[in-house]
Amino acid sequence: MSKNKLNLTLPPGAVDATVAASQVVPTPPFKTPSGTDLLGKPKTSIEALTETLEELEMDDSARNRIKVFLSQKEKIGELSDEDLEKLGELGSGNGGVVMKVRHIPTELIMARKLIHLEVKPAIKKQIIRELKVLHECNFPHIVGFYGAFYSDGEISICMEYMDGGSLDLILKRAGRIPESILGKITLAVLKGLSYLRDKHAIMHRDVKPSNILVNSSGEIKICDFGVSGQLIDSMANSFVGTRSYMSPERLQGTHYSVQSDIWSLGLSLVEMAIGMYPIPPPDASTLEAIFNDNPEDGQQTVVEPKVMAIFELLDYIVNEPPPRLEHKTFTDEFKDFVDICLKKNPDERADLKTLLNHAWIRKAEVEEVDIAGWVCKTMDLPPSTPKRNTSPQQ
Amino acid sequence: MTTTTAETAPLPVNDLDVIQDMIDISADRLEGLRTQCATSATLTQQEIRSLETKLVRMFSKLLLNKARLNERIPASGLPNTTSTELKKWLRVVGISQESSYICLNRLSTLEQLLEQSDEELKQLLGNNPSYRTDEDIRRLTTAMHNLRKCKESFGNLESDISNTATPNNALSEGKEQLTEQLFWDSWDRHHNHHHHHRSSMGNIGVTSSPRAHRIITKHAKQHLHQSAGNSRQSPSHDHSCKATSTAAINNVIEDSSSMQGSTLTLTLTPSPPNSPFTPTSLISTFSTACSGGSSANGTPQRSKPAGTPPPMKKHQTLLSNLQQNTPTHIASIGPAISASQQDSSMFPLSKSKSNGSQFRDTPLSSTGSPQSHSLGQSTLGSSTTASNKSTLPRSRLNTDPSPDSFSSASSDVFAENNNNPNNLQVPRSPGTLPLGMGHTISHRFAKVFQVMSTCDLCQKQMFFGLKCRECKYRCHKDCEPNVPPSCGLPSGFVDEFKKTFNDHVGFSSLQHTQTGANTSPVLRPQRDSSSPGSSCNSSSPSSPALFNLQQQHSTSHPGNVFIPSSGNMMSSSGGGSSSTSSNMLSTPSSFHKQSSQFNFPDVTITSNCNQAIGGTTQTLYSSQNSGMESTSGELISLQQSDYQDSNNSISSSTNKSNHGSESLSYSTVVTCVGSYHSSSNSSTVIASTNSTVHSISSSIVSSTGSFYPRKLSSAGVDKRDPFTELADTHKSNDSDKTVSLSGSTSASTDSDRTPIRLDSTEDGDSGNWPRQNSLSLKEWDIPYSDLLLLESIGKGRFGTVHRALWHGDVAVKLLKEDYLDDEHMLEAFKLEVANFKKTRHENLVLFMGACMNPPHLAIVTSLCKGNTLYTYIHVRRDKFTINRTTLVAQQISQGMGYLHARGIHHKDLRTKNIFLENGKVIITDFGLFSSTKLLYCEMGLGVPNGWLCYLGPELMRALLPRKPTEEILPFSKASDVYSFGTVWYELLCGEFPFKSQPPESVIWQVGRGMKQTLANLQTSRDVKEILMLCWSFQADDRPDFAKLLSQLERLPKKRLARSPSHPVQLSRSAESVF
Repeated sequence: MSKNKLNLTLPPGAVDATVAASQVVPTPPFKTPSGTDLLGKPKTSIEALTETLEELEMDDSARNRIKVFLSQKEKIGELSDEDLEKLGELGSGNGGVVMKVRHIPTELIMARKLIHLEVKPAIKKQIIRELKVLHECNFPHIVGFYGAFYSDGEISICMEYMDGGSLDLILKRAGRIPESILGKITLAVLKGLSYLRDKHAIMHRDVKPSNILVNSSGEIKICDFGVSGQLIDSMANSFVGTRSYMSPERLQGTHYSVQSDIWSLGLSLVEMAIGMYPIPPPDASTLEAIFNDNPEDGQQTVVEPKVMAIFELLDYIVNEPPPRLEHKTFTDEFKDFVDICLKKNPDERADLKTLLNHAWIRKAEVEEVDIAGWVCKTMDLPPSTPKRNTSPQQ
Repeated sequence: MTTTTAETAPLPVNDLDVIQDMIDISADRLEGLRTQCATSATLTQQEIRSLETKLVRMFSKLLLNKARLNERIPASGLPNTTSTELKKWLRVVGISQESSYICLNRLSTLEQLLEQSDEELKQLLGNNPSYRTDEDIRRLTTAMHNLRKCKESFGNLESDISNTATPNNALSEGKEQLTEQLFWDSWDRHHNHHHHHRSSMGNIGVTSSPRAHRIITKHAKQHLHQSAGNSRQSPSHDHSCKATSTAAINNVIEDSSSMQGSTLTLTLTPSPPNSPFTPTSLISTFSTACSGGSSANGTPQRSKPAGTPPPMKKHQTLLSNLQQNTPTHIASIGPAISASQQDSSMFPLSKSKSNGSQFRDTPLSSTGSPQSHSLGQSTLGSSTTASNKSTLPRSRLNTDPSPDSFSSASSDVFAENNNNPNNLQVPRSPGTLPLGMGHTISHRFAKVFQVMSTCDLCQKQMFFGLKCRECKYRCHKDCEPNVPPSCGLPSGFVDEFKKTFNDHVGFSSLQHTQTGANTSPVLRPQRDSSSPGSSCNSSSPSSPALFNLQQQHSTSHPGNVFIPSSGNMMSSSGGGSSSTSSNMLSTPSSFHKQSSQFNFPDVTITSNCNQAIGGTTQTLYSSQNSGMESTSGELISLQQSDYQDSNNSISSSTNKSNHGSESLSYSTVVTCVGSYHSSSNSSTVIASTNSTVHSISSSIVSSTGSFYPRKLSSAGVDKRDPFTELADTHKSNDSDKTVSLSGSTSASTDSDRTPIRLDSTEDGDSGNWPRQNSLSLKEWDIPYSDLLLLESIGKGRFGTVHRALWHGDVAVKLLKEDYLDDEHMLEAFKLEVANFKKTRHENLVLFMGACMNPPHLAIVTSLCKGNTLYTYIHVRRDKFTINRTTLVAQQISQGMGYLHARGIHHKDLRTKNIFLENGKVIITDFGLFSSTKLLYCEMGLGVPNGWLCYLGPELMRALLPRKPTEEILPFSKASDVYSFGTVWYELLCGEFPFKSQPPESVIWQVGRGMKQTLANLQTSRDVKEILMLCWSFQADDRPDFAKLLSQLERLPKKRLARSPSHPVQLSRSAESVF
């Protein structure tokens, strides 16, 4: 992977290990990603990256933000444990904790994900290598990546810090997320997934509210996509929880593809719309109770579905009708969007392109929604300028 | 009732507490029955029903009491109770978690739930995604109906009582109402056999004849003052009151106590006509009061006494319990009774007489039972059972002759009961069994592969077959249905029994088998004279056999089983005459309760008491006691706990508050004392009745034994815990031994046999039973300071593994400190350590000791020098030749087979726990899993890499995303076999099955029975077949390790000499798989 140091513009092939392991997407011609040497120090010139950016559809402000990010990143150089000062814990994701840290030399605030691994050096190297693909993933709806390194039994992945947190945290605070906001979120996620697939031939594999981040600038980004198959295989523990966003076909161990991400997105949308994990679906009265409340208080009425055995829950996903949005407060377009995302047969499920052209998304595209205001209000954040998050300390 | 309420009024809160305690206990037990027992077993179902009924009553009382309280203290109310009640109720109803969540979200109190109509409930649960929605709705609505009904009737009862001069009528009426079906069959029905039972069940409550009630009432009235006085005076009574807890209950109790008093007086009169009533009535009342049993059947059948019971009907005791009084006595018991009566008359012992009277009484008692029912209803609502139970103890006495007689008698009773609309309960359990041995202890068969063994049933050779884990009975799989439930019976006895049975077809009841000869002369003549009843004593001839049987039972079945056997013994000791009835009763009860089968000891006690005291009163007491116990056991469903309590009180005379056994405890105490004395006395005094003496002593012993286990259980150990059971058995055995040795001349052969048997059985037991006595454990305790810890060599869920020095190199597994938080964990740890010390096998790591003093918990084993299979396969990626693979697998099978034979489940068999030292397999970490916690966190269940694929479907399905209140995954031998399959796969392929699939996928696929495809595995069909067998979806379909070993040994050995350095076939296959 790392042999070709010059090739920056071509989207890196999906991590081979990942692909091999999970039989995912058709692997496109493999391109070596690394414009970086050993531990994530970008050797790429900004120009080269900028060229890449020009090819992408995005408005100027977004492009500018990325440029700012890249210029900051250039200053960082090689990351190491000593340079990072722990500021707090942001949460724990699958496989590790996420810390808020300050990069002391640059005063940059980052999010550092620590994943405990006990593997042979060769495996570590492979993982670091695979993670370098992330350097190439520069897109307004993808969380920026500063670098990864291994120290003391743990892989650290340093990412852009998103002060709004993940949508599952927001959901807990807000109870539910309004449809108009969900429209914007969906749009962002779809674009991000399209970018990953088109430019990097990567599928996300783990779309869920906790992997969608927002910030006080109103940006919406996805993170934690399955870049490194080796990393997944090497994790000592994984967690199986009360909710699963895994598509039926994946649960059944059959071949799966990007369509699997669509299912996960659909399920996440339903959850965020009604404020509870929709499997098993809430009965009518529960729904009624949820929507009779002031949306702000919605979470009080949120009923945590009783604890099903893990198998029972999974079997429900595989064998029972998919959840739907049934309440009258949702627009028909939204309902339809969710329905076509949650087809159990992946072939019947809408694909990314179809979804991007869906009426509900079209509407969301043109709609003026103050995401930043909503995020700040929900998370009690001071309103910030767009630059704040990328260069908080400057 | 009203009176009681008035009295209890000052302590309503206490009452509530007690009720709640009882509810908790019963609910626990109910849950245990649902989840841990084979719910297809009629016994279990029966028990569940009676528990349900009981719980409904208790809840009704709770609600009523609360309502009353609230009237008094409207402001404060009872916040604590309200919040939890609903939860408890839902748990008791047994609906799925989802459903109960829904309910809990919607409703905050049980009262609110009560106000919901069926439709509303349906709606409530209707949208529940759970698959079990329909079943939940059914259960909930039925249960709510019952609760409403019960509550109403209780309410009415109280008001009636308060208004009516004659409380008895009201009570009885109430009873009848209450005794209706209050259960809702909350077991998971994979195999529904209930239907035939149901008809009988329905009848149960109703049967009690009004006449009986009246009679009883009369008696009761006469003796009311006395009884009342007695009850109050007796400390036990207080206990009983507590147990009853409810105000209503208290009333009932008082009544019952008064009844008892009356009964006592009655019993004093030896004359059969009167006496019979009295004892039974007493018993019934007692039982009702105590257990609140609903059984009312007794009366009608009583007429039958002379009739020989149909020998073939088997069973059973359970049923017989209910009705037992009447039918059993009559039919099978009849002869026995008469004999006993004669004996008793002959013998100076007044007790025997009383027994006889009891027998006769049985019919009466049955009549009495209705009253008791009413009382019981008022009290615990379980009165119906109580009557049955009460009868049961007696029946035992009658039956004494032998366990067989039990079965026959019980079976007879059963049949009769079935015929009678009155039959209460239904003893369905044993009865259902095809064979009617008195001793209805089902074998616990396990598949075995045995070279050239003989089927014990058809006497033909067999290679594969079943073997009872307890008594080593072997048979073909096909023969299994025909095997009598004779677990623990030495084959000699069975044969003898068969013979006897054939010889005396008429005496089905007498079938006792071996005793046949002994009993037959005495018993038969005696049958006519039922009254002398001393039966217990007289039974001598039969008794030895009984003893043996009992002993065997006890020994063979550490658990409940043995208890019943003791009961049998008692009956046998009873001299067969009176004993028959008692036996019948006892046995049934024991069957019912399975776990609670402690009745027997009580029964014996009664007999003893009778002897010792010589006074009928004593007998009465004893009968009462036994009746109580039995009833309580069955009906109350507090069962074990109650039993234990009662036992404890008896044994130690430490009268701790017995929830269930209020009045009972008192009686029991008396009896115990009496019995002890009696035993000594009787032995000396009654030389002639050697057998009786034996029986008595044995009974005493058994009772003590039972106490012991109960104590343990009360201490928190599962009552069914083999330990306790074993302990019981042992004790009883010992006593038995001594007894037999001391020698009943009558059954010399038997007695001779017995001791030997006992010994052998005991040994066998000890093998399976880790005696958890601290002394032996101490030998294995290594002071933590003695260990010189060196470097850490591994890390596991439970903690870290260190190399250490302790007389050489050892491996020390240090348990994580958080284990210390948990008392339970500590106990589990000690249990496991107790297990380890008996593992000595070439392929198992050597257990050297343990540090058992918190905070330093550690297990010290020999140090494995080699690498783990995991390292070979997954890290070094060595390729194994098929020969080497097979050799490794064979050794694993051997080690695992040994572990299983020792009753230890590995629970975590995987390549990381298997070492390879110079070609020798060393299995480590067995049995530890339950003391290691699964990792749960906010995100759900932590799944260690490469762990899931070792879990069989039954385990997969049990995984929960949140830490369950009750561990644990249902590990079994079969789940170990599944794990072995995965190891075998790893050896063959060098990979984990389902490699690189996310845990959710693995869980679903395995839970659905999907297996890793072997399409690309290029190896012989035999090899794959082993894999597929191990991975069988149904645990029963998986072979045991003995069979696996033989299959592995049969694999063609290729080029045995030296395996090539790289296995061509294997490597290719491994790669082609993925």
